[in-house]
Amino acid sequence: MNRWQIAIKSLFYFRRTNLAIALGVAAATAVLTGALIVGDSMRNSLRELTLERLGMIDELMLSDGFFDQSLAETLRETSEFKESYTLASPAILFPGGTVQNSTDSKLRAGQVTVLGITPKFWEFEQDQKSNRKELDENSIIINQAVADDLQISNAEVESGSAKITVRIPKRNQLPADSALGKKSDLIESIVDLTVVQIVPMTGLGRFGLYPSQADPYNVYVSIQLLQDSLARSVLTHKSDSAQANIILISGKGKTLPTEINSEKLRQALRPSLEDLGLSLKRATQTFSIENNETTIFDYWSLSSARLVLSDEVAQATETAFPTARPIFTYLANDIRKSETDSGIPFSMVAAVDFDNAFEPISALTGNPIAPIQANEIVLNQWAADDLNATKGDSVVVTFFEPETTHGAQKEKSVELTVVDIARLTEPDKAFRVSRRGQISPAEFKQCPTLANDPNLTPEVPGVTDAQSIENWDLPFDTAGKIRPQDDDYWGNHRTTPKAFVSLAMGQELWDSRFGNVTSFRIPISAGSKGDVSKKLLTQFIEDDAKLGLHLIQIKRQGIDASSGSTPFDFLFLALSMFVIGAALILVSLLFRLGLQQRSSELGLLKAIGFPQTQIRRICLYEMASVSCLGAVAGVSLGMGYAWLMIFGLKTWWVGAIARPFLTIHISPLSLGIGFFSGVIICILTIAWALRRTRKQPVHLLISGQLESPETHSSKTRKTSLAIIGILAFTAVCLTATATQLAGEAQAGAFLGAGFLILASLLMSVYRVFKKSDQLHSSGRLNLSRLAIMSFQRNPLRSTLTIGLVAVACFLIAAVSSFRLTPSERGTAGFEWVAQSSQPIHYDLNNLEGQKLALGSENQLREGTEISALRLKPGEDASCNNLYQSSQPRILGVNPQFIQEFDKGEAGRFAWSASLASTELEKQNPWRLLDSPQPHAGTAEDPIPVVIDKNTANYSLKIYILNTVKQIDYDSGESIYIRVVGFLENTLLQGSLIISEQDFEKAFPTIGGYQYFLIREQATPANGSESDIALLEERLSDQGFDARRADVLLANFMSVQNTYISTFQTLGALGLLLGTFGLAAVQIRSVLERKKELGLMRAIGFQRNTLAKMVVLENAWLLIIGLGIGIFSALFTTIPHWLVGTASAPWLELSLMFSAIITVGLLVGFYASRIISKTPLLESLRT
Amino acid sequence: MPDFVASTVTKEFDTPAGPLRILDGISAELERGQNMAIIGDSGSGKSTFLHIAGTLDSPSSGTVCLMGSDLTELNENQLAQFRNENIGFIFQEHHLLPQLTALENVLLPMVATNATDSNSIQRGKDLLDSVGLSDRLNHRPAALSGGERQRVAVARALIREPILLLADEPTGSLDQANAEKTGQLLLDLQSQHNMILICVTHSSKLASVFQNNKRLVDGRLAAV
Ligand SMILES: Nc1ncnc2c1ncn2[C@@H]1O[C@H](COP(=O)(O)OP(=O)(O)O)[C@@H](O)[C@H]1O
Ligand SMILES: [Mg+2]
Repeated sequence: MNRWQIAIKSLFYFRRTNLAIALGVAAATAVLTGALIVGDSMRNSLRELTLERLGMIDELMLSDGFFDQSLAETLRETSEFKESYTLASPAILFPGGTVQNSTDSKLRAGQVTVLGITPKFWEFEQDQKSNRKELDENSIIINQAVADDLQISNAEVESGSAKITVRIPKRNQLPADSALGKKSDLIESIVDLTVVQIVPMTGLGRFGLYPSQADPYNVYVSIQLLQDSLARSVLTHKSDSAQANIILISGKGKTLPTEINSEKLRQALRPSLEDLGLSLKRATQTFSIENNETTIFDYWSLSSARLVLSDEVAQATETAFPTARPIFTYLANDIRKSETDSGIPFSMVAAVDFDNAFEPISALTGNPIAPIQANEIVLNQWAADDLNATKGDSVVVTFFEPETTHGAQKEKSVELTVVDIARLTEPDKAFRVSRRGQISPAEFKQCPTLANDPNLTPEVPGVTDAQSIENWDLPFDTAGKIRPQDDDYWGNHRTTPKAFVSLAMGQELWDSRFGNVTSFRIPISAGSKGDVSKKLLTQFIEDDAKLGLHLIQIKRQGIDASSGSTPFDFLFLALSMFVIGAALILVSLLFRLGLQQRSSELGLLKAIGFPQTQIRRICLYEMASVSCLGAVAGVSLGMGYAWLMIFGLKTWWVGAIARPFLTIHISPLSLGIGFFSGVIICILTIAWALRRTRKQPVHLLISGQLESPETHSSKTRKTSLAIIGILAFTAVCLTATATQLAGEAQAGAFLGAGFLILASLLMSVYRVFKKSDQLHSSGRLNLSRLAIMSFQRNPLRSTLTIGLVAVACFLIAAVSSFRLTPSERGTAGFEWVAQSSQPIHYDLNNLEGQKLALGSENQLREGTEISALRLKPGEDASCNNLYQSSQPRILGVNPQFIQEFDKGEAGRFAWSASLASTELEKQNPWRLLDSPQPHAGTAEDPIPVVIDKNTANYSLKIYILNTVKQIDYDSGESIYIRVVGFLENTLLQGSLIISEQDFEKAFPTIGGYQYFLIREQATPANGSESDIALLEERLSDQGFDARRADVLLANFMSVQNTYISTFQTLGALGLLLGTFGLAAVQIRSVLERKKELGLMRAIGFQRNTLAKMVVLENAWLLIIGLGIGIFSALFTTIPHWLVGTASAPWLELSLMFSAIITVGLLVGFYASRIISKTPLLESLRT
Repeated sequence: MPDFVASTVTKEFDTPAGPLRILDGISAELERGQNMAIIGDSGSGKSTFLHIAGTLDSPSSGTVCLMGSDLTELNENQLAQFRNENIGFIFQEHHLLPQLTALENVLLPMVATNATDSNSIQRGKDLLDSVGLSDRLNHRPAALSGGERQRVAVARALIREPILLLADEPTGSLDQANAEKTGQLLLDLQSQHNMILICVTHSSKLASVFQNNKRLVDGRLAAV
């Protein structure tokens, strides 16, 4: 026989008690394992969804513009590609498309991703067996989500009768917000495409750039179809219309390409200048008389399809070609002599510095013109003649401001002094534009001058290639202003500037967020076209310039994001802790009960000379076996529990995850962690209970006294009082801090504070129980008093029982008060939220804009206010998206929006916290976004943002104000933001909100407005939705889609509320444990007191009286536990009510608590029945 | 020096009403092979003295020496080992572990330092034989009568061949016949193993067969 054998024998002999302990251990382990498995499953399901969404697509090459689709082929040929990649296929992707059922135009869907694909696209499908229809010019494949929205059935598809119209953005290369940028006619409609297949929401059927578990809307057409549709608009400036804007790339095998591989591939990418939206043209003018050819000018002109060269291109060009010179040419609406009432309409004015690299233009005298100074202008001969202007005259130049908002152009004028007149040679034969648009140059009899250079103006498709001025395709009216001589000039000189100013002057007048150089002149001596472009491209690579081509590791990003943003990870485990705590209390209670029974055994072992360590070891051997058995059961229970939770999340609580995509995933690691944590914490709990018996004298143990009623010296009494005080104080401090925190941290702090209060209350109860003599002193006895006094028999046990009940109540009460209900302050009085797939450039708040946007006969009702917000597309970072977001959507709010909230309380959003310091900011925290200058968005000068608290906490992991965070977008922008305010559960969830001027600075190319908050002041007499219906109908091409603000908000909140429901089930579990514990304690205690109760009967107590006493005892334990639990919960939630929007579902709570009391009392009755069943003599004998 | 020496042992308990002196300078000396019976009123401190003599409790003052070593100077673990090797206890209640058989209960003290080997098992069997229970080796305590249980407890006390055997009212909960039988058994075994036996008893009949006979009154030992 050895110690193990003793332990094993004990294990079996006391199997009843041990089974109870094992069940407690099992409960703790099950909850822990379950929580881990749910977390695992969530992460894994999100991960699998990512893998599914991307198929074999590991990386993407995205472009801001279009590139020749052969770039994919050239990429495939590189050794870097061959080394670690297998597939590369070009495609066109438009995220903001809309679709419409051709047979029923009411059936529409916005935010559709339109994919122009080659048949190779389907090779990226993970499941190669799936068979996809071939696409031609008239056919389209849609995914199930689109089919559902457009109500297209498979039967219709098979009969070929399903037809839909697809609208895609026809985004001009000119930024829409620039003066020349088009504001309308930006949508290309592709009508009546036959749906040939509906693909299921699996594999590439759910392809999308951004991670989200929600179903994406996708349609697939042939790339050829899109290229043809766009050939005359977006792709006009390209030499070939076989263009793409994305390359799908697949790595080798199952493992992802490494970041090094990806970087190598990026370096290997060799786009042409055209692919980058740049054009390099030789500008040359020669003149020959008598076979003697002279060169007037001959240089390389580098310009951009976007009209203005980006700063990065300008920089690289200047580095690569130090002799290159910038030009900034701008359109003047009018040039006239001061104080005259007519002038020259629509002239090009070139801002250029003449210096040694390029000869200066010559004056009428033939002498070179001296460098132009500020506020000076040089007119060409034609203009001077037309205006009848001479040197020294002052002229007024009028032009549009380079940036527009709401599509409204503002004119601006500047008065300049004519310092010289540039000589201009009139051609003999004018320019000729062929039918195909080919332009042949003018022919000269007389020697042309340097000023005879139309190349100083960059090409603008639709303008510079127009047959006549009248044909200019511009966003403003030119007709009526053009005179016959202007047409002549256009015929003879086309885009030749009529005036020149200094570069500095031009850049001062026309600088914009898009840039301040329109072209570069590179000396012809720099080399051949090939040389120059090669040198430029090399320079771009050297500078690591972001030129609109981005290689992104989309799968890696997706997998990273699937580590999850879910409140699950934290909250689930945190709340599980309470249940685990309850389970541990139960383990400890049951173990004590068992130990009590075996007190004399402990004493005997001690008496016969077992050292303390060995006694502990024997006990621990036994308890370790019990714990292991319990933990094994717990792990299996945990799996079942997780399965149930996941089943719940897929069915009853599907609101929390938006789509029932979850599948259970059990990792051995989680099981291991669950098992060992369960065993270890239980053994520690048991060891702690054992430790308390260590000091007990042997003879007392032998006589069955496990713990002596401690003689409470004034010292221990003081220490315990001090501990209670410290606990309570810490709780108060924590609550105070919590009001300053947000989200998870706040909830955590509140829960922590509640827990501390709970602990301090329990300690107080314990203290009272121990001070038995004071309770005795009154000398009065009744049944209720007898019941209370029985707690003093074993203060710790009673306290633990109360604790068990208290924890369960606390959990249920505290959690439910975190429930949310939509409030006025969540919507700030906005009735509608609308989003459009394509930007809208008109100001819908004024009649002018309404006329343009909605048609001249339509207008919105008086009192309807629309706040238009700019939108940088990105991931939905709201709680509807379970993925962690790294590229959240950004909204830009304009000054009117900010000012609107100055008026105070009414109709403002609920703020959780802000950095407001001034009175105005406190009144209206939106003011924090205001600043005189736009922010650079760098680490030193981050952009102030306002975020919804939940978005910040869960999705972006930002917990405190003033946090600075870097955000990198796949589209190349990288900005630093600084959090200045948290909104509290508002409909602006899921986006970062910055000021419009910061938005424009950070995202210069994004124009127009895509996000709208709408207020309807007056309720209309006929049908309340008329304005919204009008907007939706008239702006359907832009995919304008409005939703009720309160519905949207409630939808957001339902997510959190659903989580709360799941947590309440945890509370119920805790309650179950509590009841279990209560039953165990009561029954045990009655059994233990058999003798005593028997004696009471012997001296005349009636059975019923005794039963009543036991029930009373039980009721007291329940009531005290309930009281402590509810008090702590109130303590936790009252501050939450004050700062937040907590609201308790009273009915539910009272039902829950009645249930607790009922169950508790039932247990009491059961225990009391034991008394009445036991014959008197038997209970006296044992 | 005698094998067992208790010199001026006092014991006070702290009570809410102040210190309560139970033992007030008890001295006793015994050699191996000697035995002593202590009688006294209930509550006079007999058990308290026995606990102190057996190192289960420590005296407020005074010393207890066994075989020349001062037991009051040992620490807890040393005491446990000392008890295990040199002292045997028999309580009024048998305190057998219900989960073990009679033989295992007898062998239990061996496990404190080591696992049991065939020698000790044989010894356990012999002891049970000598207390007349050779046919009850594998019975659990629940299957034994009161007298039998107490005899198992006696055998358990002897398994480590202790020098000092302490018995606290060993026959208190037995019927007359069993009580006499057990009392005699104790004395037989004591002389057979050359031990020191101190036995607390209510029965003056039993006490009278002991070599020494003392009465505990007012915290002191007085001759009967
Ligand atoms: N731990 C203790 N605290 C206070 N008083 C005690 C303690 N243990 C024993 N006593 C008191 O000491 C006295 C002697 O007890 P005990 O030695 O058990 O008497 P007995 O002679 O009946 O065996 C009793 O009056 C008892 O009340
Ligand atoms: Mg006694």
